[in-house]
Amino acid sequence: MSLLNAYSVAAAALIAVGAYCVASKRNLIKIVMGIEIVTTAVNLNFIAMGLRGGVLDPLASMYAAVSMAIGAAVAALALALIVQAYRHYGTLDSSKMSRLRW
Amino acid sequence: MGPQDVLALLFGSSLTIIVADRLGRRLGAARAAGYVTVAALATALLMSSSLPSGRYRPFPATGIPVAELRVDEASRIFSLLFTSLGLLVAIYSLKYMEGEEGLGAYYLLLLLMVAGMVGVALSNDLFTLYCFWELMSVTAYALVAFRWWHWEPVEAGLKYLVMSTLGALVALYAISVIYGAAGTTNFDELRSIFATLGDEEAVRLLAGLLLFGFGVTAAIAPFHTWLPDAHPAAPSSISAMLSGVVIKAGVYAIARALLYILPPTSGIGYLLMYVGLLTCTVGNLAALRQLDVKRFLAYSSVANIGYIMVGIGAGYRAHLLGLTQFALTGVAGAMLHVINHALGKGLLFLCTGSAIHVIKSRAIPDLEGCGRSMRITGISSAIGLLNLAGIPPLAGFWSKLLIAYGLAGMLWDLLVVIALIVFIANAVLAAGYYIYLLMRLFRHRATKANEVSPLMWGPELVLAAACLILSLLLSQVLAHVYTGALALMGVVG
Repeated sequence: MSLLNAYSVAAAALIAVGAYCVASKRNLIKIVMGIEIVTTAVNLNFIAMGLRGGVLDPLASMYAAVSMAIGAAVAALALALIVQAYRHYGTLDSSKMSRLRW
Repeated sequence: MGPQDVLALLFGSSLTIIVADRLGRRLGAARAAGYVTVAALATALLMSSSLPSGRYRPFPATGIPVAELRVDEASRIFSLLFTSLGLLVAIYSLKYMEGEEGLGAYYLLLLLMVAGMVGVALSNDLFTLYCFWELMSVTAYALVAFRWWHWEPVEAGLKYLVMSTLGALVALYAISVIYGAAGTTNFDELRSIFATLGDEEAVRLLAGLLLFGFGVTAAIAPFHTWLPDAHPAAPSSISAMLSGVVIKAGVYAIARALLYILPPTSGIGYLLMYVGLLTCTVGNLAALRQLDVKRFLAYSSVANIGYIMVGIGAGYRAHLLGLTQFALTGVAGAMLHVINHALGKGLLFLCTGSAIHVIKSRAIPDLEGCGRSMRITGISSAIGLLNLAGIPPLAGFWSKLLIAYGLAGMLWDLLVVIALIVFIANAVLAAGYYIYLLMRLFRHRATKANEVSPLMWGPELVLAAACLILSLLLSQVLAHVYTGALALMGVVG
């Protein structure tokens, strides 16, 4: 059994894309999109890890489904907070929201 | 009765809160939701204090291999800590949060957060642990941003959400790789599978991913930066929960994953120790320059997480070298410090909450003298500060001593000697600034601040008494903590 297949490589690449997005973008919506890309990548990795000889372990699809639901909850809360942040600051630029430091 | 009943009770009563809140507001009983929360947490506390050890499958008929729960001494200690502090905070909130908007949502989130933490402590499966972990984290983000009409909670909540979610996803990635390698996520099965692998590069990588993944929520440096923003921005009752127990759930997950599931590997012990030392040095130095009392306490929470990580690191390293006695002492010291800090920091945040409630300011100069005018709050906070400072007869001293003793077993190793020196220097520095804060709170003039209502000083007094009882009954407590450390390291249970 090899852990390295096309899907797990794609998942690792997607994680890199998502992490880059979170680290480099200033727009809050784009940061949340980056988090969502990482979530999707981890779900894909579960599917990649559940493939055993071409057959998918039902456990893996269950993990991915539950993790998607959790990811949706986090995204909903994040967007709700972003709406409030926009009302306070009038911008979505995260670099303008750095009143808290040290 | 098993752990599934405790969780079912917590989830069931969270539904009741919605009904109680609606009915209560219609009938003019604004505290109805609060009473339901207090009752649910009190029952959960009673139930979790007498859980028999063992493994439990909540849904035996379905044959789903995940969602297995476990009870051993370590998870019992942690779940008791979570429910008891949750109960005291709920009682405190009855008065403290009175008249705020959205109280139904507040109590619902508080109860679900406790349910998530208890679930983390009781789960016997990595994916189940992750689900409860996210329940705990999502409710914590929402509670930090509870007063969303101010800018500070929203900004702090967003920062907390982004950092902590990324950490959880890193941990989930590690879990998926573990699942791929072993075909299971059950703790006990993983332990026996990984024991045959031994000291390998891949195991070390997984341990590092799990450490930094869970470590973001546990606030280990360099991923602690959200904590001094998020904890002060929350209502004080929630700060007590976050600083007292939510970060301890992170410590529990790290300890369980590294000590129990994965086999001891070289290098990770040093990593834990030095990450811990970095965390406590950063926390202590940053705490020195704070003028805001809640930020001060938040930074001291970072420092205390550092001590706990040093203890776990010492235990890990000694376990690898086969020094079981020292390993046990290090982990037991870390666990005792978890209890100490949960009680002490919960107490201090409740006390500052009371003081801020009366004085309406978070600046330390404004709070000077309030230890004299608010008698009960003042005395309770003095006990909490002395306990965290580690003044000898109190338990805070013994936990640090046990961690130092765990390190002292490996004194031929230069890296450990350096760690021990830095650790002791940090403990002394921390003792200094706690005493300094204590002196400022009690200095000269008494302000004309009045004592708060009994519903608020009651929980403070209970926590202060708990700190003293912990020190008086140290030998009994140590027996439990040592059994807990044994269970955490998988030697028994």
